[in-house]
Amino acid sequence: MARILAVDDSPSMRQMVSIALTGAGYDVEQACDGVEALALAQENRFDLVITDVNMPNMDGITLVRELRGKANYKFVPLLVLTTEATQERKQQGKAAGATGWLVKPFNPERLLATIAKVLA
Amino acid sequence: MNTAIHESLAKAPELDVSVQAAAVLLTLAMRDTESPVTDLGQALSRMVATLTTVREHVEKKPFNGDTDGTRMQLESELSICIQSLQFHDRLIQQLAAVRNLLTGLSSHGPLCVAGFGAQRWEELLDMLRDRLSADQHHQLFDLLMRTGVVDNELGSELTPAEGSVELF
Repeated sequence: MARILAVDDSPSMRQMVSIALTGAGYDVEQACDGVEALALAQENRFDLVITDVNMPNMDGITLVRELRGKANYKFVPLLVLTTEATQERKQQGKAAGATGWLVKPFNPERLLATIAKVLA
Repeated sequence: MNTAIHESLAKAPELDVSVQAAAVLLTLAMRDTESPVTDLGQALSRMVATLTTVREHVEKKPFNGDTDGTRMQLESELSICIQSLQFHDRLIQQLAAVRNLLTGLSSHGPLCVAGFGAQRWEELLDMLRDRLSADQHHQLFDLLMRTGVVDNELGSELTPAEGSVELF
C-alpha cells in the first residue's frame, strides 16, 4: 500500500487523517509543520503528501513549492487540506504546484476517493 | 472633558481586568477539551483497527449478509465521527483568535468606536476579516456589518464549500 505523509499542526486533525487513511490500508507518517515534513520527505520516499496551509515555521504552500523543487517529488501528488476556501488561496496553491485542494472538514470517503484517483 | 469619555476612562481598569479574565477563561476552557478529544480520537483509532480485523475475518468466510451489513453500518458511523470531530479543531482555532483579540484589547486600553477609537475599531475589523477563510464568510461578515442581522435562509445559502474537493 502507498505511503502517505500527513502534515498538520493540529494533533487532532493529524489523528483524524491518520485514522481515515490507515483504516483504508495506507501507511501514514505524520509531521506537525512544513519544516518537519520537508525533513521527513528528504529522508523517506512518500507516494503522496497531504498538507494543511496555516502552520508555524513553514506553511503548506511553501512546503508544496519546496517539494516540487525536488526531483523526487516532481510528480508525487501533493494535496492541500485546509479550512481556507478562497479562490485567491487556491490559486496560490495551484501556482506552488499542488495537485488538489480539499476544504476541511473532510469527508473520509471523499478523501479516500480523491487519494485513489490521484495515485492511479 | 466629555462625560461619556470620562466615564469610559474611569471604567478602564475594570474593563481591562474583565477582558484579561475572559482571555484566561478561554485558554482554560480550550485546554480542558484537549484530553477528552485525544481520548475520543484514540478510541476511534482502536475502533477502526477492530473494524479492519472484522473485515478480514468476514472476507475469509462465505457471504454473511448480517455481518456485512453491520460492518458497513459501523464504517458509516465512524465516518460521521471523523468528520464531526474535525469541528473541534476549527472551534479551537477560532477561540484562540478570540483570545488573542481579547489580549490585544487589554493591552491597548478601552475600546471606543468614536474619535481615536474609530481607528482601533477599523483595526479590529481588519483582524476579524483576516480570520475569515472563505469568500462566503466575507460576504456574510459584510452583510452582518451593514445590517446587523443575517437572514437564516441567506445564511444557509452562504455556507462555505466545506468538504469540497478541487483537483488542479
